Amino acid sequence: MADLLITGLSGLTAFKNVLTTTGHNITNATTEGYSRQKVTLETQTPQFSGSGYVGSGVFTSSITRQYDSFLSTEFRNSNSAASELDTYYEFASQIDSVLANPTVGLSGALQEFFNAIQDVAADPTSIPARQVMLSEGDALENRFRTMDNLFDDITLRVNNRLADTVNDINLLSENIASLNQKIVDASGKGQTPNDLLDQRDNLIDQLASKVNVNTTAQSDGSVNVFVGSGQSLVLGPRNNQLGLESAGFDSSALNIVFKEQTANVDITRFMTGGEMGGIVRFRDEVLNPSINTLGQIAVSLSQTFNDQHSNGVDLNGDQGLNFFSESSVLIAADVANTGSLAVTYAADISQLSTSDYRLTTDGTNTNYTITRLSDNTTTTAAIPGAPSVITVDGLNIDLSSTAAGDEYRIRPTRDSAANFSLRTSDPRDIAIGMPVVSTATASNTGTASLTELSVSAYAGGALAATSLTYDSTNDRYDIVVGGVASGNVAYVASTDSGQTLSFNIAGFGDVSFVLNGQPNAGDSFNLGDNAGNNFSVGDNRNALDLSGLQTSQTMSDGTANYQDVYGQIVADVGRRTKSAEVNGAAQQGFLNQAIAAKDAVSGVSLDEEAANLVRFQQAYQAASQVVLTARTIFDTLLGAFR
Amino acid sequence: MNRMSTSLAHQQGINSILQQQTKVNNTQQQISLGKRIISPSDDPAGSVQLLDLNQVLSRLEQFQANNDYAVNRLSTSESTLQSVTANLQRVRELAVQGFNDVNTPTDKISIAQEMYQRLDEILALANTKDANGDYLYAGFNTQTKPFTGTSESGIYTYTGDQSQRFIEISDGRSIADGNSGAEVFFNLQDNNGNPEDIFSTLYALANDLSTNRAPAEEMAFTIDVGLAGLNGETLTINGLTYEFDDGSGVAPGNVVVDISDLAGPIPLTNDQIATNLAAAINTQQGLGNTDATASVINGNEIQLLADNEGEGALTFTDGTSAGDITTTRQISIPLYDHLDQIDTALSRVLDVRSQLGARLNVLDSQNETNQDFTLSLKQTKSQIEDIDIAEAISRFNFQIVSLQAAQQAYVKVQNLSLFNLL
Repeated sequence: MADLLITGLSGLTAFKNVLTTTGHNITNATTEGYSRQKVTLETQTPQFSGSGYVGSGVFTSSITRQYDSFLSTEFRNSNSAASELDTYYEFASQIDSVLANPTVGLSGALQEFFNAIQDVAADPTSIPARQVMLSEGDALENRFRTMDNLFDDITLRVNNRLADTVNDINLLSENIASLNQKIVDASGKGQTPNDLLDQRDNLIDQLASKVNVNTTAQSDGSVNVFVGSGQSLVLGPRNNQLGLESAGFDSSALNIVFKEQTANVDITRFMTGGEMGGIVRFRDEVLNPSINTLGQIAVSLSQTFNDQHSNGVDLNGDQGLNFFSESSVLIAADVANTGSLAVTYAADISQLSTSDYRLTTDGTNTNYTITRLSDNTTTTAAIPGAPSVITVDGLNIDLSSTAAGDEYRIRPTRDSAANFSLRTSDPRDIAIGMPVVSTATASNTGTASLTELSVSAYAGGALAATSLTYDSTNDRYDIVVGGVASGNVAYVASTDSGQTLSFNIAGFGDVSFVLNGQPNAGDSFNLGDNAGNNFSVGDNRNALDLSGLQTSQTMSDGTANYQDVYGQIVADVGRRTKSAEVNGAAQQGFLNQAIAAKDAVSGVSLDEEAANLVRFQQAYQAASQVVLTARTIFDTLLGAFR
Repeated sequence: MNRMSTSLAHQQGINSILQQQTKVNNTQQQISLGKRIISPSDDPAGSVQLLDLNQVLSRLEQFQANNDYAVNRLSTSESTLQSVTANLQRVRELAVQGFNDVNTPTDKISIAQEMYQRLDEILALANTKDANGDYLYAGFNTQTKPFTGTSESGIYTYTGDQSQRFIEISDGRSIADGNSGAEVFFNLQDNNGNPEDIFSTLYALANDLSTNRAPAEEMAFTIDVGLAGLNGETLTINGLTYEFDDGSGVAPGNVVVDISDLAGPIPLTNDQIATNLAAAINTQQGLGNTDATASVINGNEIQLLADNEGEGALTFTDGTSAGDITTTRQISIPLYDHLDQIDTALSRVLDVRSQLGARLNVLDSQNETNQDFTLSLKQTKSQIEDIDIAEAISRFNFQIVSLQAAQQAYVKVQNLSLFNLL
């Protein structure tokens, strides 16, 4: 009887445990990171009697959580990747939605500006038309500003988000370390502290959504967490901190550092996965290229437009000044530098790339090494003798003042969009004329005509009276400038007719024109001054050349115009955003599968628990019947002796 | 057996609702904007195509504006030159009329008056401004009145240049929006290869008429002295003076024309005097002293021809007593010169007008080309950018139904709990 009572009691105890656990499961059904717990019941050691082993009831051998570390790792990796793509998409779509927007994007403003030039070309003396051109130029400046402000905003947001993420990571790793301690303490008693393990796993899950981590389980129950290229974020009960540091070359760019006792280690480039990976990748792939490309367009536009504008003559008869502000190359020098560097844009601006460059000098300042950071192309060569200027990708780099061991960061297009501005404010200062006009001599007897007269590399000032007189013996036009014979231009009507011919007038510029027809000996053209007081206000030749810049392939090594380059960045950002979206959706699918797989093992099913509740309630009731029966038997026995 | 946890079932139900909602929202946005591409990531290649298309469309729009502008200027020029043509034709009529000898000097003056008016009108036309207040025929010098001069002074100057302004009317194609005044009015060459300008020509013409100028290249006159003494009277032809002499001698330098028989002072007949005069003139011409040739054409009628063409090639001053010599015919050959010059001017103007017409044709066809191009680009753009409304609406409806289904399924499934049955 006593056996039966004890057996019954063991059932009561065991089923109470089971019921309690079921209740625990039910109440934690919605707790994040909770793993379903399961009570394992075992039979008590049976008692031997002559007739065999008599069972002596049940006992709770363990309460374990339903957990598969493989599925959990799977979930963590998927989560990390999905979170990276989500963050990437979140930021990229901000730029994406703006670039092609007709009211904010650059494209519309460019078109309006060049259309305004055409209107001036159609009516060169109209002050209102010129005013419109200035307004459109101003609008273009605003558009560059707006876009640049937007990029600044996003840079700021990126930095804030990085700071938040670093804080989160630090907090999480601190909590993981302290849980490690608790778990080690609790594990000493031979049973697993299920809920603490769940909490720690949940924290690691959260950490994985911030950045890719590697974990290794230790025999004492603690888990070590590594980040980046193996930096230990959590080692048992201790944790290390991440931090942010301004990149030396740019105060607005933050590097992610691993704080060690002696120094901080820059681990930015190892940051993959999670929000952190998404942000860093967005910054490298979308944000910085967009800023630089916009800057590249600003540099090209201002440079080429100013160049052409200075070939012209304004309404006052003066040489055209800079229409837009001149860009300058941003150079960041290492604080330890003792020398200095000067960089300007080369005359052929079409070679300019969107990349930044690192330039270093060796220990004796005899060689320099320049690295194009976009593709890490490195060139090492000796610093040339005076004037010590090298030309790299549309940049003239003056190495004459560098010192040994200097390091510079050259950022040719970084600030250009922000600094792009309209320099002309007076509509009369728009230079759309050209400083030379031609007159065919009235007594010419041949059929030759001179057209498309234009000037490049105009040095300013007035042209001395210049004549071109045909020499039929030598098939050439003899040039006389200001009464001084100045060479000749060969002209054979059968081959040179319709071709552009040109010659240089020292101190004035290059004059080019097209000749047609057959001249007779002595036929001549006079080239006259069309600047200063002699300026003819109806001249629109430079306006035609200026508006031609819209479709001239002045960028990317002569393969693209402004709009093409802008289109490239629109397409690039669009494609990256799209791929982040598509991959994000795919990754979300993987993540859902991983969640489902993990949940199939660890998740709480209320139906299952309800069934368990019913089942173990019955078992408990049955066990109490056993106790009752034991008592009844005992009572029966006592009654027999009464 | 696969377990399904309650929270996962719940989450999956919610997920599918959220997914459907996102789709519905996207489609709704597409429908309300009528656009398939909301941001470049919707179709990166398409968006770049759109940017390019927009640039081309915007340029085409500008080309059309340029085209309109050029048409405007060229039409103004054309109608101006039409008036110039009409004026020149009227002047030509007046010239023909004016040099008819039937006219008295007073008539000629009044004809000349009209010519001056016409000249002023042509001058005003040559100084026409376009709609923007720019002079049409000034080359680049559009803000300075290109032609100056008055019918008082008769001196006309051109202050413009020989330049022609071009306007872009399609990619890489430019068209001249006018002709310089030098080309239309000033730098002409007459039939003799001499420089000519319309204004000076007309001025000279009118001036000749108003001064009743009778210089001729060809004229005829009769000698009728009867028995009255012609002796000592003179004629001046191209600066050389011929003196009729009955043998009593002539003033030094004068050419002798005998009027008496060598045998004695018997007066000669008119016919004989005419013959002698013609012979004297031709002798002088043979000696190179004069450049006029004479011939007796009808008894006592002598015809004089200037050896050179041109205004004032023949001058004739009658120094005889009234009635001794009667001009029977005087053909003012300068009229022919003037007419030639007017014709040169007319043909230049017509030539320019035909250029204008050709350019207007080009503009017209370019306009059509640009319009066609614009239309086809807009179609392409629409294909890339716009949604197919029918497809979008049906997709939208389908997505709404899916959303409703997901919602209903969620509610149904969530109601299924064993606890409800306990």
